[in-house]
Amino acid sequence: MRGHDRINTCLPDELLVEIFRRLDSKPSRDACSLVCKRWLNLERLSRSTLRIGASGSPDHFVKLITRRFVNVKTVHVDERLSLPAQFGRRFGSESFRPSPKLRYVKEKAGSEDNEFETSYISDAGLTVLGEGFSKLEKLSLIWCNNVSSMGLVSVAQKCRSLKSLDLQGCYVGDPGLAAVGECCRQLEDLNLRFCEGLSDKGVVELALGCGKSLKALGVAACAKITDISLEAVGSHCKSLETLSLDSECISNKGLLAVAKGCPLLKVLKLQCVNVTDEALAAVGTGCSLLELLALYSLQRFTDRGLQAIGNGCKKLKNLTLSDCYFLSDKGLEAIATGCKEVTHLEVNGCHNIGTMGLESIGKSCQQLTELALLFCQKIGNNALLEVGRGCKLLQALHLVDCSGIGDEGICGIGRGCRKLKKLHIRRCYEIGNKGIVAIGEYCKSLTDLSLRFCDRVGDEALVAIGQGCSLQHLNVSGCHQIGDAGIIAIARGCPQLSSLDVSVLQNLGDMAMAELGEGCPLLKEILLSHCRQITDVGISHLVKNCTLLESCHMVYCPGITAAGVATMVSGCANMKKVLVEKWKVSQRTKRRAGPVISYLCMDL
Amino acid sequence: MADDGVNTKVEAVSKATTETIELRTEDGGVFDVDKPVAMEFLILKSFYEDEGRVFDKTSIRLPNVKQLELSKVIEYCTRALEFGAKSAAAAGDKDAERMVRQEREGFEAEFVDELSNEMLKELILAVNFLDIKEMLDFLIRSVANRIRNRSVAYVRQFFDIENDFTPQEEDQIHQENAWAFEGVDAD
Repeated sequence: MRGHDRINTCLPDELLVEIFRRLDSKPSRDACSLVCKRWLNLERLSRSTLRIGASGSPDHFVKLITRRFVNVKTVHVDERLSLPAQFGRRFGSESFRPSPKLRYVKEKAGSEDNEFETSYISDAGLTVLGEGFSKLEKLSLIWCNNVSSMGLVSVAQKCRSLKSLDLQGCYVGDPGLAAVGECCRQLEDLNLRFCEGLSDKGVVELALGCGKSLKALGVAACAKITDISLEAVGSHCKSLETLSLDSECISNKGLLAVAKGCPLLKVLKLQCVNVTDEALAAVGTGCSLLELLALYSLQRFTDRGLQAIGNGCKKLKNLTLSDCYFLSDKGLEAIATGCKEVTHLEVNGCHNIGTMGLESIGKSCQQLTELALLFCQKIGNNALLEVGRGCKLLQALHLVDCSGIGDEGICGIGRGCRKLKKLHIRRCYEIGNKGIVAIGEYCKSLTDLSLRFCDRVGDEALVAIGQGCSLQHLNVSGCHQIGDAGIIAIARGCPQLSSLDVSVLQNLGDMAMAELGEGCPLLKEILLSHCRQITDVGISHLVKNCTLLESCHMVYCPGITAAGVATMVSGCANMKKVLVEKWKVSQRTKRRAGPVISYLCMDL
Repeated sequence: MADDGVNTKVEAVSKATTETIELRTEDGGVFDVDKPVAMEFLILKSFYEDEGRVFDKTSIRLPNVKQLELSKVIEYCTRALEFGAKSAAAAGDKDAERMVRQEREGFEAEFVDELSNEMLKELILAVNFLDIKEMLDFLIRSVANRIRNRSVAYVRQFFDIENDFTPQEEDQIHQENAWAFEGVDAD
């Protein structure tokens, strides 16, 4: 006898909740909520995270959900996301699917069918939220324009277990922050980026209140937050581990206070025009546990500052130097010799750092796993040769606009870094076939290859890659010499390929599409924009076997017509995004695909 | 020939002779279960501890469990104990640990593959009654795998549940679900 709902009657609530817990996808949980009333109640009780975008009437919906989802611990309200669902309309119960992430590329302002009124969550809504979710631990309010101190005060008063608060872009005032300090004594994580309404007063009261528990703090573009705030942080936030500062109003005084008062600091990100070596020297002495240091633009730091870091922060693992004009090879050498545990290094636009600095990294930092060199014209082949010799654990290499690096350097990487998984090169005009062939020969673990606008790289390189590496991601946009032969070699050699970008390749035609259709059934994403020779025939061959395709960009392809677009849409059940000219989409295709298609509306 | 039930002897866990407990199922089956395996059934454990006496050869009746389910439960628990012992022996040796893990995963995959939906549900009820934590966790995971990403109709059918919502109520739930979206990445 079939069990007539025996399991539903015999299984206790806890077990059902355990089953729901293991269904970690939203569609699965939504399905469970519709099974029967008992399941609805249990399912709602066991949801712990909610995300809310700008919608029809957020205050009203907050009331609805707080009634049901009483155990929610995490709420994200991100009003940059607009929800396309239409409220008040009926949904067919089986065919309804929550819409995936949508982007509308609209060149001309025109009203689409899905226009609706958005309004933003208000203080009243926040009050209901606070009352409903008293166990709230994580709250994100991202660019919520209608929220003010009042709303924040009521949330703070109701949600005393709050551990993480993100107020990015909200114009809240000091009273709100003071209330958080007063009431939320377990707060660990606070993000105040672009909270222009806040001043020192609020931050000081916050530090006084919950400074003991605070572990992470982020401040950006807040003109009224000055050294005074940082001094309060230095005095009261002894457990601080992460600090991110982007401000013109902060000077050495503030940083010195933090360096002295927060010895547990592990992560420090600075974009502060007025801070100099003196501050870095203090960090070097005071923060011996520092693991991540990122210094951005217009800094007045010199090699002296980096030397202080190299001397004091022996645990440094991750270093980013971006647009730091005064830093030279000497500073990088000091880091190399002092911080032997460095695993991630990014040098971006530091025009005085050259080959020698990188050579010293290659000689001393044997734990290096990721290296990024962007806009470094002075770095030459010898740098990469040395890195190839010394950094055997390298897994990822990014090179952008490094005109001094050519085939010799890439060969050195290939020979030495056999564990390489990711290689991204953009606009390095000296690199050609020879270097990439070496990669194909030696780097058998490579899964992600991107060669953009390297016009000396041709089919020969891709043949070697196809033979040697089982790629999952390939981007060769703008490498004009690549044609059918190269892509066919990839199609034959990389059956695991899941994303492919061949934009702007003028010599690529339907033959390659046909081979891709046969050789790469796991393909999920393909970008073909500006490929003049690809036609509807190529598309139909591609779609024949690549049934898992989710995304396709094909703008500016004169050979592809409305028929090709229709084939693409009808052939791929999982399609989530098609970028194409509006006039190429027939009414029929529009009806079938609806929300999946993004338009490029240009009068061509 | 005249017997109602089937006498089933179960293999001992270790080579040495172990004490066994006799378990009788609702449909007349009789099982001699090794003590270590039987002690995994927390319902039994508390029974013996409650009685305050040392284990002896009394027969225990399990009114909510049938033969087929009990034999599957014994099979799983026996192997689980074996894997536990192997894991302990391999402690510290990463490769050996990995091998035991893989062997266990292989066994569990095969075990659950052979279960029909009906059997899976019956097992959950039996294991819930017998109070066997580890196996219950395994079965819950397996059920979750079978209903993941399935439609509402499928889930109802799987559990033989009747829909007790009105169409208006269903609509409202759809609205709530759509509006509170999860898993959407911010820019």
